[in-house]
Amino acid sequence: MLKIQNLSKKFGNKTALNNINLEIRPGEVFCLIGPNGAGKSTLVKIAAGLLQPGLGEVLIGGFDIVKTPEKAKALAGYIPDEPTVWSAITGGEFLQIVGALYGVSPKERVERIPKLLSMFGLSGIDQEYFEDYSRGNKQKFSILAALLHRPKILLVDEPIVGLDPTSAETAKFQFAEFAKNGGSVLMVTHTLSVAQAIATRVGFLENGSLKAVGTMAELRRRAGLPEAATLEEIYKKLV
Amino acid sequence: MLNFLWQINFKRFGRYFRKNSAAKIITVALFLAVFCAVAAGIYQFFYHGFLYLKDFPYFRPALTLYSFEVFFLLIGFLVWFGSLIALLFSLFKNQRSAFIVASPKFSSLPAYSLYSSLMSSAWIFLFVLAPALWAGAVVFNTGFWAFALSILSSLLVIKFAVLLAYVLILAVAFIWRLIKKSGPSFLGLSITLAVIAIALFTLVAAKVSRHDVVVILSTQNLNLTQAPLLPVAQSFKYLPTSLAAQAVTYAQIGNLQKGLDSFFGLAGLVFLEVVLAWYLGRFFLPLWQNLSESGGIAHKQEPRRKYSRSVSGLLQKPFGAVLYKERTQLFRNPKNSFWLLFLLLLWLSYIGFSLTVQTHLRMDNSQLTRLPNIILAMQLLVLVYFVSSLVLRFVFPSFSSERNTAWIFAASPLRLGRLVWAKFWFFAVTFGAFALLAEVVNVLLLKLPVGPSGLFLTLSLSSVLALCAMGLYFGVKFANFETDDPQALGTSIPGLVFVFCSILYGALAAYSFYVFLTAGLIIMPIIFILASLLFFWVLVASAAQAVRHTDFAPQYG
Repeated sequence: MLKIQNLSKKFGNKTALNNINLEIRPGEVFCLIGPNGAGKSTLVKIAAGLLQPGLGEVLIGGFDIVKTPEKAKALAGYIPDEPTVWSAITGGEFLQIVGALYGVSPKERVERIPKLLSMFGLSGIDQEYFEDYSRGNKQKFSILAALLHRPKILLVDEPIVGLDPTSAETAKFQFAEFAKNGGSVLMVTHTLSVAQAIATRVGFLENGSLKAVGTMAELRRRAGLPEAATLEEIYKKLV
Repeated sequence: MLNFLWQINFKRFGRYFRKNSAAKIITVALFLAVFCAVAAGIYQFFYHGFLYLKDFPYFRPALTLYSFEVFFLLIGFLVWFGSLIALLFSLFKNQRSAFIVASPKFSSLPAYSLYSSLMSSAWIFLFVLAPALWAGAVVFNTGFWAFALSILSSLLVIKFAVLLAYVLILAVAFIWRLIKKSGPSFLGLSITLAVIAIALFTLVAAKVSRHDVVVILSTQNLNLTQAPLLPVAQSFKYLPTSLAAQAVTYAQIGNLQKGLDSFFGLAGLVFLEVVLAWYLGRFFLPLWQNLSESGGIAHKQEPRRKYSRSVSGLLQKPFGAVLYKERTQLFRNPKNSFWLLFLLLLWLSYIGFSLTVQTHLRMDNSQLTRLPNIILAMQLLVLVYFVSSLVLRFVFPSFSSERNTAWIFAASPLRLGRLVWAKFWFFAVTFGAFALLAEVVNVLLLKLPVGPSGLFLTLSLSSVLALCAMGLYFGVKFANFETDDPQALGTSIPGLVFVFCSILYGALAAYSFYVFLTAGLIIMPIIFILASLLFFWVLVASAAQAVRHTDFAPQYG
């Protein structure tokens, strides 16, 4: 579903990403882990079409994010690390705007939005303004917005930050279910327990380069750790 | 804490020059050049005006007082309203202030906001008031002490206006809290202040428009060698700015004692404001807590349980969704509404001014036959000035200010070129409607014939299209994702270039209309309209093309 080939990106003289090659298949939850400033968010932002790739290409469902951005983006749902939305817009209006941008018919929106709202306990507060929401509620709205048009892949940047324990559990469950139903998830996270619980594969990114990619079992073997080793232990060993 | 906040600001100023320092030095130099040019223009205007008055010794003192009364009233109103907006938001809606409010030094926040406004109002003194006073001093050969008194009086009147805005905001919030324990909402406070501003404007405009200079200065006593100042002073006595005008005029005609009396009267008012500001500042914390509770956005609704099944007409398609977002953000934001109101009041002042001039010139048009045409052409120049102010405030930063929300559009399948076109049409139609309404009122009041009216309105509309396109083009082509502050975005090299281009454009528009009015050459305005239409299409299409290569999140992570 997502294919990244020889991707490099520089900001001035600083290399953010260096020759990244990665493929995420349908049904996979791929978690990208690494220290702050490693280039994780840059990778997700390039895949989401927010940044231009320097070199290389990114294909979503076979569509190039640079050459055919409209087709590629229509297949993806993006959840940002900072869910900033226009302050004077209500949560309900935000979902309607996103629905319209992604070509979801008004009829489908009025069917789907209430269901999504109730999934995260947001029913009844969708008429409040975005600037009045807590960070957690803003994050929940951005997750709902990404799911609204039934994407094939979710590009997720730190989804759990600010969510209460129940909502964090719901989000985790939703991502896992999304993958179970044939979707793909590329998730950047520092919450290693979440990654360990739902990731089918994990990648460690450091200084813009992928240091290791594999399933938990493969990474354990590579790190020379026993079967019971946690993701945190693997990460500390390999990065 | 106050020192610490000042240090942060000075350091921020230093940091501003660290990155792209050459470009930023050029920007600052160009802005200084613009301000100096404005100062020189004001100096010339007053210098020649005073020279003219010098030839009429009978009217000179009274007309000088009248000029200063009107001048200080206008400047005082501008500073007061500008400070009202700036202070309202810096006191209660500055997101970065939470850390100060949480500290034991929370009381430094209102003091810092007030000092910042007092400091930033200094530019109007330096570049507008000082040149006018200097011109008076040169023409009337004013002595040192008289000039010093003029300078101090005008400085004081500016500080008076800022303090009045500060005291008014806190007083309204304070009284509201006395009446209702839960205190005001930010929206309620904003609306109350807007109503007070409109009421004051209407009251003062109604009073001033009734003044007839001819009647005020008519000879009552044939033995007098100079027209008395009292009738003029009486006409403005209800305005605090009158004290400054009297202090300056008395100083210039050599009556220092009377000048000092007026100056001390004004100083007394400022002292009263300082006491009130100190007293009300003690209640700042509970007021801040009240006002930070709500969003401060118009039409706030109670949460409801049932999801609405109707979808707004605009939200059917992606293009409409952008229009919906722009409309909502523009009209629901109280700061935007305040700026629109400010510009509207300025516009009304100008219409009042041109009506007065037009009426007086019609009374005596045997001497000044060409002036009405110039005034009509100037109407177009003023329109371009107002529209370009709107464009610089709203259209130019509209792309860069998406900085934190860019992910919504940039990650969606919406063609980014269409985003640019949607923004263009939204602003062009909105500002076009405003301009059309204002201009229709204008041509009706000025009793223009049908032909020139039609041409005038067509020129106005094509100017709105061209200016919106120009602002959007510069905003997209030179997008700046370092800040989302519209004022900071406007004061950049591209913003400055836009200002220059719009001034030039306005001058061409006014000239083409003037040629039509005086020589009947319709070809010039027609060429201008056609060129404007081509110009807007080329600019928006170029901006739509350029947006495809924009990085929407240039931070590293």
